[in-house]
Amino acid sequence: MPLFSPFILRRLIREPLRSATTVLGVALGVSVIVAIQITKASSLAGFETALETVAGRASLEVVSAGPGVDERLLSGVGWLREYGAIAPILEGDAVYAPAAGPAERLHVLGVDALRDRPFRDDTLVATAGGAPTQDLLGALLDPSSVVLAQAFAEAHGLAVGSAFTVRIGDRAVPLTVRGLLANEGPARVLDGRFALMDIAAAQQAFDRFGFIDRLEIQIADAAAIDADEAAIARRLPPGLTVERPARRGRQVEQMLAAFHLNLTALSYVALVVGLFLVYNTVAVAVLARREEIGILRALGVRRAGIRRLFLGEAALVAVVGCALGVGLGRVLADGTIALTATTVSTLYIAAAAAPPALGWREVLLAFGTGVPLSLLAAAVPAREAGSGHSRR
Amino acid sequence: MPMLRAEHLSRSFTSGETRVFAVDDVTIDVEAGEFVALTGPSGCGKSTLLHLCGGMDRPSSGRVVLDGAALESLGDDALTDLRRDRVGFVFQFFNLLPTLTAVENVALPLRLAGRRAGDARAEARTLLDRVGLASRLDHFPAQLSGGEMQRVAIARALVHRPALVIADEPTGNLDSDSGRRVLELLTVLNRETGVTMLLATHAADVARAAGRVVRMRDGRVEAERPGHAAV
Repeated sequence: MPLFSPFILRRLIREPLRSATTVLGVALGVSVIVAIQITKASSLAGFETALETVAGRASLEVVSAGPGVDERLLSGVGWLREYGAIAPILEGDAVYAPAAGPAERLHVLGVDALRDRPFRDDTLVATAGGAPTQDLLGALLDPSSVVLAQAFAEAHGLAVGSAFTVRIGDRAVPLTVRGLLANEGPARVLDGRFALMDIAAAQQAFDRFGFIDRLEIQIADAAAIDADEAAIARRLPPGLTVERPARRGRQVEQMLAAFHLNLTALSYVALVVGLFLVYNTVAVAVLARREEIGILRALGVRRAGIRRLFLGEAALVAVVGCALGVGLGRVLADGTIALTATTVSTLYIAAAAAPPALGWREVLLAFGTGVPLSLLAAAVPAREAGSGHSRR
Repeated sequence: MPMLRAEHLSRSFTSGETRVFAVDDVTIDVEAGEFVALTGPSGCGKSTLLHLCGGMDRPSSGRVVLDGAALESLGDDALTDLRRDRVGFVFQFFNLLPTLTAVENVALPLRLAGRRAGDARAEARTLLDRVGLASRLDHFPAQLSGGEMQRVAIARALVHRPALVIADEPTGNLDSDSGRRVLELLTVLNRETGVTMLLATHAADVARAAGRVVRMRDGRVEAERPGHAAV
């Protein structure tokens, strides 16, 4: 098309403010979509990392619907040891409200200190005795004992021996720091908001006497996991099921889906604003250039040729806008991740935001959304331009 | 067969319940190489007749045959292509594209017809040189005077060697000196290139330059006479 450069491109260059506004409109719309996409991926990845780290080396879990696994059922499943090591787990969230600063959610993992060692590498860096030790059992002796992530303790001025109170539901639960955990594993992925308790103490703290969340199994023969899972499923009494830890990830994914849907919908609202700018720009251009369109028609440019010119303008604006939007979206993602991580942690599940990653998927999403929709927005005024009469 | 034949051509517009005939049963032949001037008072239908003859408008009734092509039989795209290939237009207000330089404006019909950019530009330069604008090739219309713009428009109308050049009041927006020079240019180009010209004008001196003068009134042909150029 010999006209695109002199007719469209030069005008875009001659009117930098108008062109920049339109490009920026598309860029902002696309950037919000990209940012939300990155945020979604990040929060899910963050949760999955947290899940995997907290789940440790468990390859299967025995779970139950409702309030959890009834301990009375456990006496009948001693045969599970035939398949590998087993350990009960109860977990929950407590809220720590320091005298100064905002309240923070603390993810508490209740473990059987005797049985948990094969599952998790919880490195104690300090205990009541002073020197670092691996004596988790000793650190969790009484019901108020808790082992805190070192990062959390330092952030709140707590040390071994410090007493503090958390809220669980509507109850205040006094706790005493009996040890500090190295900043690794769950403590790291949850940004330090992690604590270990003895499972019996956790049942008391969370008021869930007689229940655990799951029984973790570390299958001795990893190659036989499929067969073992099937065999365990057959032997479990009614009310108990066996599943893989990843399944919890999918459940949470479903739970977060609604939240993510809201974010996605909002991001598309931003895109609609950008598209309206494209529509408006092309519509104004068509209106302002009616005379020139008439000249082109008189000189022998077909209606389709006129339409292509203005669609070309929209496509160019969209491509530049999308390219900018991808970069802008990456920057914006840093902010939205911080914002949504708080919401996700507060409302849904304790999870740390994973570092945002910009991949081909986001780039394709930006261009695959921005360019076609911009063309769609420009289609009406472009058609109007093509339907104009030749110069009279 | 004349280069242009308009037979019983009418073009009416409806305003409320009133039907107004801008062109009313006009029959006119223009031979190849002829320079015909349409004269008459404002609103007599000159411009409408030009548009019908140039394929920019369709008649309410009657037919136009241009260089052997019956315009009523052509679809929109074919009519557009015919304008591109066989008609050149010169308008009162020049109608150059403001974002194209003089040479780009002139080369445009050739580029639209598919000619390579280099060839089209070379031909446009030659023609701009011919109309005395060799030094203004890369100026944008806003940087040219009215007379210069009209000379660019004339070069644009002729560059693709059309069968017919239609000029609507080509001197109507120019001072007398520029108008005279544009008229001379049209006359010389008609004589030298043999291009057929159909021109609408109010100006008596413009009409005198034509080979034939057709006077219109109320949408009809009132009289025809040879112009001075034919004498």
